[in-house]
Amino acid sequence: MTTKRNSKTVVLALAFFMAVSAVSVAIANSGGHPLDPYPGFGRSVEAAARDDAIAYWEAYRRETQIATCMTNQGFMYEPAVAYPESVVIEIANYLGVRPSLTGPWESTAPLDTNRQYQSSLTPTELDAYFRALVGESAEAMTEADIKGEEHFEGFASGGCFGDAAEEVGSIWDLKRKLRPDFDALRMSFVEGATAEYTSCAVASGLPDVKSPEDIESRIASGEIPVDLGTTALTGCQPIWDTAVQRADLAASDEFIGMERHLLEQAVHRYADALDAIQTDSTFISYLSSHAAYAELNLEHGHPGD
Amino acid sequence: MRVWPFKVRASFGTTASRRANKGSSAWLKKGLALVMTALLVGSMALTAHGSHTVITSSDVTYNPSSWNGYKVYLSSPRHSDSGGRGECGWEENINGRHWNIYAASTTSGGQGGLKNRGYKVTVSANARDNGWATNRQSSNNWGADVHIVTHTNATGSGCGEPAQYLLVMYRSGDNNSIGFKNDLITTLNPAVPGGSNSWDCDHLGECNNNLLAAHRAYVELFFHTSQSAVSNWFQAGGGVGDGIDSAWRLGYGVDLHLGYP
Repeated sequence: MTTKRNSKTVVLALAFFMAVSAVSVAIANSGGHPLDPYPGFGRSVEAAARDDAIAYWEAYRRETQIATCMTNQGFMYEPAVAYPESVVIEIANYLGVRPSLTGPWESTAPLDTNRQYQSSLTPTELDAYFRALVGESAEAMTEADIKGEEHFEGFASGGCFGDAAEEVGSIWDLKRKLRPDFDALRMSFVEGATAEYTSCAVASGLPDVKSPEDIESRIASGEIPVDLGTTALTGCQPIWDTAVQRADLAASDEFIGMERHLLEQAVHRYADALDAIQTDSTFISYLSSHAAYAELNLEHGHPGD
Repeated sequence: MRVWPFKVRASFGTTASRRANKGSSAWLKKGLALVMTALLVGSMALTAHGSHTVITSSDVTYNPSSWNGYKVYLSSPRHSDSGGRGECGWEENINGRHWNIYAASTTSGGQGGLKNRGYKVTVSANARDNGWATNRQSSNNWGADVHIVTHTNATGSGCGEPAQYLLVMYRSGDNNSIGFKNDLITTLNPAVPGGSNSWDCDHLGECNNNLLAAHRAYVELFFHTSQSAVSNWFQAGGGVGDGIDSAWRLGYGVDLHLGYP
């Protein structure tokens, strides 16, 4: 009897969790954000993953183009895509690519392969290598490497590297160009949405508050006890989130209206990108290898502190 | 044999383990209890403050439960001579990443770290490989909106001087970068001994126009001039009340600059 009741409880609990999961998935997939259709501006999980996949693919294409360019000049260069490792794993997952540690990332990370190759060159060869790669001397590159300094605009942005950047471009180019306008728009909408937040803060014992900034500045300066400030921040956060979300949606709609022509150009430009990615077998193989390397690196490394 | 390109300098609990091995059978239970207690305390300290010893070629990305649309790249130092730069017993690469991990992930202090505030955050590797350009490339490829470099500046002038200041650098002629610098000084300065300072970082590769993030700043959290000030910031194993508790202020500075998105 007890066992039967326990089984029933387990089944009900499972059903509940499955339902909750289904709802969560439905929420994640529903509606989306007004900016989602525009490549580089994706905000929902799905659209952001699409943008990362395209960005990674473009980085890969730049790297392969650099490799071809360097090979044509008599040098070896292994395509070495720099991208946050856990995002590489997410991209593989999004594209349905199974991580497999074969190919370019199997024995040594391509970046290290390139460093080892550079070490094997004579000073004269190394100088020619860097002039071909980025348009700078080996001496200048070594100094920059050690000191982190680049003494003039456009340093090391020539050569094969510069050609590839110009030819392939980036899904983020438009976002970078328009981001300041969008930020200003969003902030102008938020400014009109603070009365409710003020009331909430007053109820929490904090007068003269318009936004979380006012509370955090008082915590930071020691003007109010941390506990009081944190309680007010936590209690009033849903109000702020709602106001910000409303402002974000309103700003997005207006932004789309203002920049429709450029945004639609981006849609057109990337219309076939995902198909091209899925049929690019050398890219898929590279991603699979990189994702497997990233998994191992994260597992053996120290994602925490 | 595959050699992973990272190293770990120390770990918790080794002394306690050695102590346990010395115990006679009569003391075994007592010894084990002590070991368990030590491990428990050690793991609690790890949870709270970390071991502060990690050098790694791995980066780590934090995804918030609800994303506000901004990506933040926190770039850690990658000096090949880290630890030998006059850091008063500490290591610049480790300091930078230690700070960045907490700035990204802490849940305490105001509204907590950047992840808590709705940002996607990547904390870079801190390998001793002069690989700062890889951090920049990763940030550019990922499409970071905000790029903050955090180092602690080794001066090599000894460790008996007064505590020296927070330095926040900006891109000259870029009002956005200058505004961001001001916001970070506002939020960080009260927690750093020795006042604050700022100048341009146009000559640095993680500040000039080869870096593509719209919002950029280059922070030297403090200078390694005062043993007590440095050690207060990065107590081994982390004691409550050390400087790392201020890491939430970086998120506060980013929120202040972007209007709490």
